[in-house]
This record gives sequence, C-alpha cells and structure tokens, in this order.
Amino acid sequence: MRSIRLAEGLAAAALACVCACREPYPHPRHRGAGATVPRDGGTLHLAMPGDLAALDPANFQEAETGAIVSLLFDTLVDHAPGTFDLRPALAERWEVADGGQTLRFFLREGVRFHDGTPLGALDVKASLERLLDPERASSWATSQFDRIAGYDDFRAHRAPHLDGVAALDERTVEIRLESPDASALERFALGPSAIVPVARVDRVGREAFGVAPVGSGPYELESWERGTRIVLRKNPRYFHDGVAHASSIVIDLNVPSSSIAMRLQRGDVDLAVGYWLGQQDVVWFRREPGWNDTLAVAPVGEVAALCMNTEIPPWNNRALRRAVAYAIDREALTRPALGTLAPLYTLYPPGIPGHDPDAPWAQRFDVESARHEMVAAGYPDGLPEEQEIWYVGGAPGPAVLIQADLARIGVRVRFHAAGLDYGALTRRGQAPLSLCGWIADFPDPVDFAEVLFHSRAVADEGSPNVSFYANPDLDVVLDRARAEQDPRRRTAMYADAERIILEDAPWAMLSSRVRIDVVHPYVRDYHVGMSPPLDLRGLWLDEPRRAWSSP
Amino acid sequence: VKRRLAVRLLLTLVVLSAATLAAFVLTLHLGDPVNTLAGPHATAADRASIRHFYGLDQPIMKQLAIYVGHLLRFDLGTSYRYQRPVAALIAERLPRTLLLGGAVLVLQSVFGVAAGALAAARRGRAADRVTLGASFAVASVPTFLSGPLLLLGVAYALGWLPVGGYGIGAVEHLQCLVLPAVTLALGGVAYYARLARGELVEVLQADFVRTARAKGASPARVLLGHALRNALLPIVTDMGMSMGALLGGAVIVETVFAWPGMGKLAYDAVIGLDVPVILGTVIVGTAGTLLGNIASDIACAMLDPRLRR
Repeated sequence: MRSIRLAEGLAAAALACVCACREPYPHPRHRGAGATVPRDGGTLHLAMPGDLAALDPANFQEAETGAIVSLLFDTLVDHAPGTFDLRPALAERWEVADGGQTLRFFLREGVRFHDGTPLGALDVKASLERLLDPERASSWATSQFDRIAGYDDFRAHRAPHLDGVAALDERTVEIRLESPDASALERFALGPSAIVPVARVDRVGREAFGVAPVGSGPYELESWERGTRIVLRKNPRYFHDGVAHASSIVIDLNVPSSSIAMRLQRGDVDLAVGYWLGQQDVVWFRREPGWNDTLAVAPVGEVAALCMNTEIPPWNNRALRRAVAYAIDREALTRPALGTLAPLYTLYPPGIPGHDPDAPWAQRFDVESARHEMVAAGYPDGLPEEQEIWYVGGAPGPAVLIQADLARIGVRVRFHAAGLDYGALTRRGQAPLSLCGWIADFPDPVDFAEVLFHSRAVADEGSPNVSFYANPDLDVVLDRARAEQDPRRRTAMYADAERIILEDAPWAMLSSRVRIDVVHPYVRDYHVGMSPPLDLRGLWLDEPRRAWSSP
Repeated sequence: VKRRLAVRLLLTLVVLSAATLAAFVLTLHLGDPVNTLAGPHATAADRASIRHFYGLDQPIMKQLAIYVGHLLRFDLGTSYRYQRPVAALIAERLPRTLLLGGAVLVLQSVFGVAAGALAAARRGRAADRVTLGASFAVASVPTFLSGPLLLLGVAYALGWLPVGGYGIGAVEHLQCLVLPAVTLALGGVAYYARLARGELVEVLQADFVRTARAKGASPARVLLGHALRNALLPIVTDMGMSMGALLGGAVIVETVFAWPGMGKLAYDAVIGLDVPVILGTVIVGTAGTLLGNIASDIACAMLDPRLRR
C-alpha cells in the first residue's frame, strides 16, 4: 500500500503547486528604459489566433490578413495613427472637383516597391482594375467602388478597362464618379484599394504573389512559414518618418486565444488585440492590479442589434417594433460582459463620427412607453404567438435577458440556431427576428445608414438590409447626404437619417464592443486602431527593458 | 498473400470512395459558401459571378463528376480561403501531423506496454493496483481537458515549455512537440497498459511459459522474451485500428496547442466553409486510417507466423 500513498502524496503536491502558483504573473516582467523620444530598432513579438490567407489586397476577407496587408502595402490616403483624419500616403495631395464627382490624386515622387521598381500612376489604375476584376472579384470591397464611372460596364465584361480611372501622367491619377460622393476619399484609405506592382503580379501570377507579396508599405516580407510564423522587416526606404520604428515584427499564427493570454503574461508577446483574447482573459487583465496600466481601451465601430424583418408580420407593425426597442434593458444586457460590451442606444456607435448618445431619438429602456406602443400596435395583452429569434454561430450570451425583457411586454420569444452561415438571416422572407450586427468598413455614418437601411440594399439573397426595411423618406435623405460636400450639412443629414431609422425601429440596438488591447509597458505610442484592425504604425520599443522590480 | 493484399487494397478504395461521397453530401448541408466568399456588401450580380467562377451553379451531380475527375488526377482543387491548391496546403501540414502522430504512437507503445508488463509481473500487488487505478483515471480524462491543464501547469505556471506553437528549428520543434504528444498519448498509454496487462496475465498462465520457467529462464526473460511477444498481437492490431481516433484527436489537440497540422486545417476549413479543404482533409485522413489498418495487418503477419498463410 505504500506506493498508493506515495502516488496520492505526489498528486496532492502537484495540485498544491498549481494552486499556490495561481497567479504566477501578477505583473509584467519588464518595463521600458524610460526614453522620452521614439527610438528605432528592436523586434516586436505578436501571436494571432487565426491563420493568414493570401497576402493580397485584392483578395482577403479576414481582419488578421488585413492587418498584415496594411503593413506591406500602401493606399493613396490613410488615417494618421490613432485618428480619423485622412492624411497623404501614396498621394502627397489630392483635389476634389466637379462638386465631388472627380478626385485627382498627385502621387509622391520617388516611391518604390520593395523590389525596387518605381510606383506610378499606371500601377494605381491597374491595381483598381485588378481589385474590381469581373473574373475574380470576390472581395467584400468591390461594392465600395461601385460609383466609379464605368463600373457596371467593366464588371459586366462590356469594357476592357475601368473608364472612370485615368492616369493623366506618370504621377497623376484622375477618378471620375457616376455621381458626387462625399465618402469617396475614405474609400481610398481601405486596405483592398492598396496599390500593387501590377507588372510583377502579371509575371508571377496571382497565387504566387499572394504567398510572396511585394508592396511599398512600411514593412516588407522576410519569411513566412505557412500556418506557423511570419516575419516582417522594416522597409528602409519608407516615405513617412515615424511610422516604422521596430526593425522587425515576428507574428506567430494559429495560436488559440487562451495561449495568447498566457504568452502575454510570460512576456513572450508584446501586445495583443482584445479580440484575440478570450473575454475571460480580458477581464483578468482588467482586474489584476499589476496589469492595469497595460490596457489600451477604445470603442470600435461595431454594433449588435435585434433585427426585425419588416416584411414578415407581425413585424411590419411599426408600433410593435418600437415597443421592442423600448423594452430592452441595454445596461442589464451588457453588464455580464464586464466592460467588453457597452450598451448602445443609437445607430452610430461610439468611435464613429456622428455618434451622439444624448440624441432625442436614442432608443431608451422604458417599460411604460413599451406598453403604450403595444397598445398602439393592437396587442394590449401581448402577442398571441411565440416568436423566433434566429442567430448564427455560437449561442448568444444575452439570450435569456432578451427573453425576459420581451416577456415583460407580452412578447414570448425562443431562439433558433441557423447554423454557421449568415446567409440564413439575410434571405428574403425567412428570419422574422434575428441577432445581427455590423462592423464599420470605415469611420463614417454612411457605412451604417446607407449600407444597412437604404431600400437599394434590399436583396432576395444575402440582403445587406437585413430588416428588408424600405422608407422613401429615408432614401431621399441618404441620397442627398451622399452627395453633400459641406461637412456640417452632411453631419446634420446623417443625424436626420439616424432619427428616421431609430424611430421606425427596424433594429432594436443592443450593444457595441469595446476593444481592450493589452500592451506591455515598454511598447510605446501604440494606438488602438479601427481601420486597420491592428495598427502597428508609429509604435516603438523602449529598450533595453528593465526588470519590473527595478526602480 | 499477394491476392489478399490486392483484395484489401480494393476494399480500401471502396471505403475511400464511400467516405468521399459521404463528405461531399454532408458539405452540401453546411451552408452556402457563396455567402462566405461574397461578404455582406455583394450584389446579386457579384454573387452570381462568384457562383459561376467556382462552378457552384452546375447541377450537383455534375459538380461531383468534375470533382471526382480531378481527384483521379490527384487534383484536390483550390482552397476558397487560401486561393492555393488544397494538395499544397495538405503537403505543408501533413508532415507535422505525422510527426505528432508518430510521437504519440511511440509514447503509447513504450509506456503503455511497459506499464502493462509491470502490472502483469506484479499481479495483485501494489504496483498492479496503482497502474490499474491510474490508467482508469487517465483514460477517463478527455483531451480537451488534459490539454489545457498540461498547458496551464507545465508551460504557463512552471514555464518549462513553450505555450503551444511549432517553433523554428529541430530543438524548438521538439520542445513544442512534448505537450501535444503527451496529451494525445495519455489515453492510449492507459488503454494499452490495461490491454497489455490483460493479455500478459493470460499468456503468463500458458503452457509454454511454464515450460520456459521450468527450463530455468529468468523471470525477465520469460516476461519479455516469451510472453510479451505473444501478447503483442492484439495491441498491434488495436494500434492500426486507432489511426482514425488519432487523427480525430489531432483536430482538438492541434487546436489547443497551436500545432499547425492537418487537424487545425480541417477545423478552420469547417468553420470557414472552405469546402475543397474539408473534402481534401477528409480524403487524406480516411486514406491514412485505412493505410494504418493495412500496416497493422502486415505487422501482425510479421509477428505471428500463423497469419502468414
């Protein structure tokens, strides 16, 4: 029997050890050297949960791939790190003419791709045509550029070239639009519109280019062991100062969220985007006093909502929809998320220009008003039948709370799992209610109001307008706002659009995500980016690192 | 022998075709990959052009015929997500899964049989009971629990090994291999320990063992030289049959430990509706399982002269 006691003893000792070291990393291991001005050099280590697909601006879907693409390639304009201000990138300046119908970009002189070939106006034209290639365009970004003159003909094989894009000379590109668009410039800051060396792409082929990308961005590809690790090194010729400080960036791929949190604590990785960590890990970092100073918190342009299909009775009843919007206690709904979700009362979430939580049309929790609306809707005793809320992916966290909120006004709901495919929610006449959401492509209200609620956005399959909501008054406001060049008038128009939408309540807004990134203290000037999702531009490593305990 | 092998290979092909067909039918019900490919902004025209480009507008039977036609030329198609040939993706990942699987087989056979032999030799005594008890406990722990626990204890709290990954260079590969291999092997070690013990206890009572003992062979020689060889047969058979479970387990373990093998590829493909990759990994996985079975048959024939006839 002695061996049994020995085994038991060992097991108990192991358990005790694990319990005793419950918090092996109560604080980061290192702090910075204390420099006051940015310094160059050092290696930044990251770990990502996903894998990278082809590193090709014209052909990526995932945020992870987009983050790397944004380091390897340049767009005509971009956002200054940490701001929504458009600034010159490949284009050193631009003009908007013809009341917003023509954009002229003047390219920076002497910009070269990583392989040494110069970047010129013809590359810009060819890159855009390649992005919108009728044969291959499977990019989510295609429709961002549907206002370029000749888009339809080019996409339908009726024209060999995109008529609206012209290289006026070596360094001037003119883009003509079908109609004025005040948001056009923003679209040329989107990652997919980045400029590629088209001669090279034609030579090596699309597939080979995707695994050995050559751009003009602040970093270039050094090595890529597929599925495992990618290493980028600084582009010494980069035109903007103060964008690339670290000499190289090493990114481990396919690392599960829980392991990323452990690596952060051990100091194996220098920073992690909040999305890449599990919610429980983010909460751990928030609660652990030693790690409190390492958090970079920012709202992101993301909304979650309870979407009501305005074509399926009884949800064509406006008062009923308004009742639902009043009935939801958004603060209670987001409380279990411990700071990673914020209650959302408006269409434009925090972080998007136009966001105004105090707007009079904001959707507030008010059971009395909800009951009034139920009476107005003709259901003083509640809905006779149980309703279905469809969702895709994993079971939604707040399901029970939504059920309880709606039960209070006599609307009984159950949840229906519709598989993995978002298409189930966006097919006409299918889901009466659904849990839906939106992530901004770029920081502008047009990307919410028009994309999600214009009657043009209704389609039988894959309808971006998930509520199948059509309101001619709204369409007029949106069409005028799209063309409006005066920023103040434009803002007022989008506020008006938000009012119409929230009062008609095709969506009951629920929550918006708060991004909480964890950044070691020696990583300085890191900005939580929205587009691109991981913005490593401008950060620097305050080295040599000192042990945490040193003064 | 040759004829039997030929029949086995033929049966293997039948099973492989059936598995391919089953996977093809099942992927039809996963969802519409066009929704994933097109993204939220796509217009009806965009969706139609994507559907046409990937041949998804063809009748199902024709899609199947085209797929099988390519398959016969060893062409597994192109991944929607990676935009690269599926065969190239699998060729990158398969060696890593084989490395993991090989390590697991070694661990299972060495430690499983050793523990079983120890228990059988000390039958009814403390070592036997500890082995039996421990193997029962270990076999009951699923990999999705033991994996994270090992990661938490050994890599995180103690800091002895990397927190998942694959590493660069042989030394790092080995360091990264330890935890996933141990996790995946644990259940097998426990299982084979019990199996080996059971077989050995039986064999140790056989006449030829008594004869060996009577001739004065040492207990170790009796156990390892005479009894073990006779007890190995069911174990080897079992290992061949367990290839499927091994590949299935790899899906979980590779995900937990960020081991960039085929299991992780398959998992991501299902989540992302990357149908060509799903089919490719199913076909290669099935082929691996079937080859494992054949290999164990051959190994058994080598161990047991009676089976060679």
